[in-house]
Amino acid sequence: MNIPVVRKLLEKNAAAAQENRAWFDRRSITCVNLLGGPGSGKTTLLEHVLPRLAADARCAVLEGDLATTRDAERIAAIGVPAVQLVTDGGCHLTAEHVQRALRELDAQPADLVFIENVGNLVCPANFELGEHARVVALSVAEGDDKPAKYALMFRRAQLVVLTKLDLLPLVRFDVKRVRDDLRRIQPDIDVLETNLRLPQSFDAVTHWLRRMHANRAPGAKSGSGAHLG
Amino acid sequence: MHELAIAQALVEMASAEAARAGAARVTRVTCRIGALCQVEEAMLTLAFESARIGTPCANARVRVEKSPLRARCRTCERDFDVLSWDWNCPACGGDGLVQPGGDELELVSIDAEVGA
Repeated sequence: MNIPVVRKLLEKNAAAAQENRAWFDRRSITCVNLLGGPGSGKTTLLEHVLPRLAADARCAVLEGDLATTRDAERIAAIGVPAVQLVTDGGCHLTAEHVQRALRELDAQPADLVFIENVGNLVCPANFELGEHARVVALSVAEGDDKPAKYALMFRRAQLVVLTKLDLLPLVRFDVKRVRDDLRRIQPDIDVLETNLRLPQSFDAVTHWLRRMHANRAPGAKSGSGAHLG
Repeated sequence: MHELAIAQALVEMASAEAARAGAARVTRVTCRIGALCQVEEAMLTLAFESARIGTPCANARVRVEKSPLRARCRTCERDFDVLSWDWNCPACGGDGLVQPGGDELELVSIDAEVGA
């Protein structure tokens, strides 16, 4: 006999993600899932943005990695609480990984929680964690073909940060082509550029995050802001 | 290797659905997978063959229905599949606007047998 079913294959992860989102919402925390390939500049982006946010928002970071606690150490070094999640070879974080870490976070009141995902442009795209927004870092050194090759990662993002623009003279990377491809797959996407030689370029990312958090606050007119569909 | 997580979910879900229907064995599992999910069919089959061991799906085969990325022509409003990142309408050459879908990961149906 044939039995029609139609169930989402990752429904268990989706249910855990929903619980995580409720956990964040009860505490008025905005959660950002920070994604990107290995070496795209995710941790460096946090190192520049977190001190800027510190003036008016308490931040905490969950660091997902295959191995080592190096990224959590980098974040702790700038005075921001960080919890390391080691996946022991797992290529993506799941909502259950995050659930286990939330207990450790409870002692650290925060307004914004960043989850730095495992460096990978494929697998993490499929697993929501309970975030309110996805930010993807893409460095110019990775090549301008990435949005077309890893379309799901970019389709589900609200913001793409093009990083390492200071390297642009040394690599082949067509910024306009990337912006065009990103709009193809996600017409509403925001795109910002960062450049280590222009520290003010990180202000725009900080501003975007602040605005997103403010839009989620109770009474804000756009409600849940950049909530994932 | 998200194929392994997907295969495990397929086996778990198909076994539960078979039990609910009072069936003993699953002979085929049909899933719908969007082109954007980058699930490799050979890899999924391999992962499924290891995940199914010792379950009601032990002899089941997996069938994949592929769901393409779709776009709507801004000129003639026809819908078309976006293949190889080609966003031009095959009918009039117009520019395509991305449509929802192409990112499905679903169990669609199971074929099962009653009896021991």
